[in-house]
Amino acid sequence: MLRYLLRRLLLSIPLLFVVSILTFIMVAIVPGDPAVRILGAGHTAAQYQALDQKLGLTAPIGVQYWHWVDGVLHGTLGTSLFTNQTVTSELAQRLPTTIWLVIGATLVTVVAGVALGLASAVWRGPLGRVVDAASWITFAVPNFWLGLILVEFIAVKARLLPSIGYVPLGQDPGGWLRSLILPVVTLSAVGVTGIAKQTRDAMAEVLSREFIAALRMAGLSRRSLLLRHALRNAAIPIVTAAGLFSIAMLGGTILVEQVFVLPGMGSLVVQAASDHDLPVIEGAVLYFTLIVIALNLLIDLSYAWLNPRVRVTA
Amino acid sequence: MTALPPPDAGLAGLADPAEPGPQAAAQAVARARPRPLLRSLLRDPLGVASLAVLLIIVVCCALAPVIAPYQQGASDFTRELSGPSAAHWLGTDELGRDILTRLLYGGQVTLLAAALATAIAVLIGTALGVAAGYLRGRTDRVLTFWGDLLLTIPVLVVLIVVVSVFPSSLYPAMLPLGLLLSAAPMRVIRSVTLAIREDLYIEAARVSGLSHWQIMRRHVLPRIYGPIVVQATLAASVAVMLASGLGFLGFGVQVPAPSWGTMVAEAASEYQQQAWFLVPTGGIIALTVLSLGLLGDALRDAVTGQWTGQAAGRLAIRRRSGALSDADRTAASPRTLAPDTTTAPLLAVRDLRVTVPGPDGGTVLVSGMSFDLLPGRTLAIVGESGCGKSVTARALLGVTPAGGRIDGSIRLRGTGPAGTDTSRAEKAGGESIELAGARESQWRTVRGRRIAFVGQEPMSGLDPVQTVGAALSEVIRAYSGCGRRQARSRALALLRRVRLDDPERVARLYPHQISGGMAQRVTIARALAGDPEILVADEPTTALDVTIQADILALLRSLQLTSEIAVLLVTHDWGVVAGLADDVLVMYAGQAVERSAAEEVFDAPRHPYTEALLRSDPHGSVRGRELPVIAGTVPPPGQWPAGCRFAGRCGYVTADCTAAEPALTLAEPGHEARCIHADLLAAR
Repeated sequence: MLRYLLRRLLLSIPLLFVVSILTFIMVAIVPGDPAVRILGAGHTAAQYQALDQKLGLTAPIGVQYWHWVDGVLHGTLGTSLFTNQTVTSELAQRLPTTIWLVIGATLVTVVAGVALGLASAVWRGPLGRVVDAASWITFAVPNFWLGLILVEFIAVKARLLPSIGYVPLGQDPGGWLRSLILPVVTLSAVGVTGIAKQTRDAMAEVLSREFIAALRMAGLSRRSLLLRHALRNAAIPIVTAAGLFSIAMLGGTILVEQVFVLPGMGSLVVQAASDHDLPVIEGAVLYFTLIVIALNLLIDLSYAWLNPRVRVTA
Repeated sequence: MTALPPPDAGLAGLADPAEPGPQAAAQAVARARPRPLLRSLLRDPLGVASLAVLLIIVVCCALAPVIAPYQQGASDFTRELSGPSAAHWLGTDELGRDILTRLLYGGQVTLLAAALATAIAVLIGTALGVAAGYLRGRTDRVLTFWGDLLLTIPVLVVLIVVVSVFPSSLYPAMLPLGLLLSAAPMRVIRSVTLAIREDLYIEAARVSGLSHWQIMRRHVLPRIYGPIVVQATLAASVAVMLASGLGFLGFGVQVPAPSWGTMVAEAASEYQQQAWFLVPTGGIIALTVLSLGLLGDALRDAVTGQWTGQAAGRLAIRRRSGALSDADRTAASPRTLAPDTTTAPLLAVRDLRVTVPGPDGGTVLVSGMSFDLLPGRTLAIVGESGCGKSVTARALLGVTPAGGRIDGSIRLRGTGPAGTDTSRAEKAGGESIELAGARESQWRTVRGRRIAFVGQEPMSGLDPVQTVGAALSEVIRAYSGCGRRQARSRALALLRRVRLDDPERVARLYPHQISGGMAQRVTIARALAGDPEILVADEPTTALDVTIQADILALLRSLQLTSEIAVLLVTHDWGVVAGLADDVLVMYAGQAVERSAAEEVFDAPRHPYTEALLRSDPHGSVRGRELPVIAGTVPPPGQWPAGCRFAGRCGYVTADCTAAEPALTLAEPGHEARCIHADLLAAR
């Protein structure tokens, strides 16, 4: 089991390199000189030289990348060009909000999605059509727009929840929960209906398999057939989908944090992008990728837990 | 935002390619002769509607300079943030600019960017997908790994990096977006290509010396355009969403130029004054994405429908109504059946009929089946595949295919309070129970506890994610309500009883870790767990190796000797019949054609079908002589001929055979046959 996890972890290392190299290459191939953009019009040649040096942009791209990797291995990600804080401390302040958003949205997606999917697998007909329609609607409606609508109706008109802002967990747990509800709902809407559909289809497939008929003929209860046997076997495609949704939702936090004015990594990266703050961008991309690797590991763990074949062969 | 395909694509593009869904579709596509995709699409109203909406949006945006009601950038400061009006159909924004005009111009940016990303995604995806599927081997492994990698990259984060360097244009960001979106089309195209590659003419092209490149370009590409178009619409829907998301974040255009995303951001900053502003701006994005998603869905149906939908539609069972079912009823009159009176039957089946729902009142699978199961005796049901043997067997446990209905009578004897075996008497509760039409809760008191089932494929009868020990403990606890520990020791005892070596070890194994023979012993152990009076065994040895078949048969025989159990054995193997059965019932096309003691049937069959079956049995074949086979096939349910159902394949056929359906009649004491020539057979 431990060996299986270690092997999966080793396989995620290429992801780190691919994403960071892609980031570097994209910054390099896209036309435009960051130093010029940072300084704006009316800079002196000396200012330009100094900044170029500071950014390390005079070196060939391979060398730039090597410097960055070297820094990462020594635990430094450089300094923000604007705030002069170290990138690691900036990210440390922003990390909890984003992590809570992703954890909350993933939990809601899986719990609500599986429950809804199970319900529509058991009581087919109208509920199934509602799930179908809802999954199309949530697919088509942009989540940043959905967030604005929720703010308008639930926060502004009904005054049920705060419309914007974030309360840290340590400061006020109740306020923390209230500040996360709308962002999490916004982020997870597409996942909930997507997982519901996936669950229903996977359940339909498993329920048509022979072993379910055999267990039914052995006199097991409907409840046991559905929950203990069918759902457990349907879980693997559901987990695959949940993994992809949680990665998509991690990207979605960028938009949702913007809508709800949350101090997370997404709003940091948007700010850094507007400021051309390259060290911050690259550091944030690294953190995002690490979260993806953690999510993947979680998915692999649940595969191993759900499917005995993975445990034995790996 | 999400880089996922629309809901109805499921995760077809992303799911494990080993799963049946996409694979089957892929093969389907591969085998289909390319038919005009557009024509198939036009039959789907939702597909037509989404295509129309999409065309209108694209054409209107393209023609913005011509059809837009106002000049780009024109402001009307007397009407800021107004709702819809005759002058401004969709209202005005915070600077009094016409929203419709801005949506049309903004669409140019958003749609063009999305088209660019889509084109890149489809080009890369197709090229790599065809290469992976066609070249296979290492290329395939590397490319598949690459595709998996792309799927785990959070798209929006990467795009932000690009727009950070080049904030006033969306187009540079579309290159990496296209690259990231290429993973899904690549997977689908790969599996389609894999399927096409196996085709004979590709093989022929290879042998005739065409290069790989020529084959891929001339023979593979033209056949995968369907899936390519589908993938393009799906990628486009994601691209529109992401391009809008970037706009919302303030990237991609230079103020005051509009894009759909930036307009939502503008609406967001004004929503407290004028909430309406949010409706058209978000609405146009939702409408476009929805149309693309639904169009992709309809196209996918059209692509796969080119083979499945239409072929299946034509093959659909057409049922000839009324007359046939009346014939069934008369043929199955219970008067001809003389139940054995020496021992009271445990289970008395009379006029059993299984119907699956369908047009014209459904299709009859089995009709007029009547037989008794007696303690300690084995009744074998024999016949070719598709005769209704399994349907009959499963009906005794209240399980029918596709929501079918059970009519007639299945009466289970109550052993009575004075019965010798107290545990069984308790279960029986004295009175006999009618099971036909019983509720599911009533069936549950019978299944496993009084009537147990052993199926054909032992592996597929076990839950793949449950250990053998857990599977047995679960049913034991369900039957007796005992604790975990007690259930476990009983499970081990059962494994010993079915003669498995080292039950402790076997109990810890999963189904995929044991052999077919072991798995069948486990399912037999499960069937014995409720101490049943009746065992229904549906081809229990068919899927096993010959040597293991003999072991399993010996096991069944010894179990019957020790526990006076009644067995219903479904088989098409006369060797199994000879080894186990006391009585034989031969089935053909959903009805009993002969019923007798086993020796009688072997020595003097009275139905031509039984005779033909016995003759085609390899056990009795003469070395060096061709094994006789019965010409033709069993007619499927719903297509049974009038008159004798076997007439079309029968060597004794006369004009009378097709005139009326023969009844099952007594040919001699204890021997029934459904043939007007039964005496002719006896004379031979």
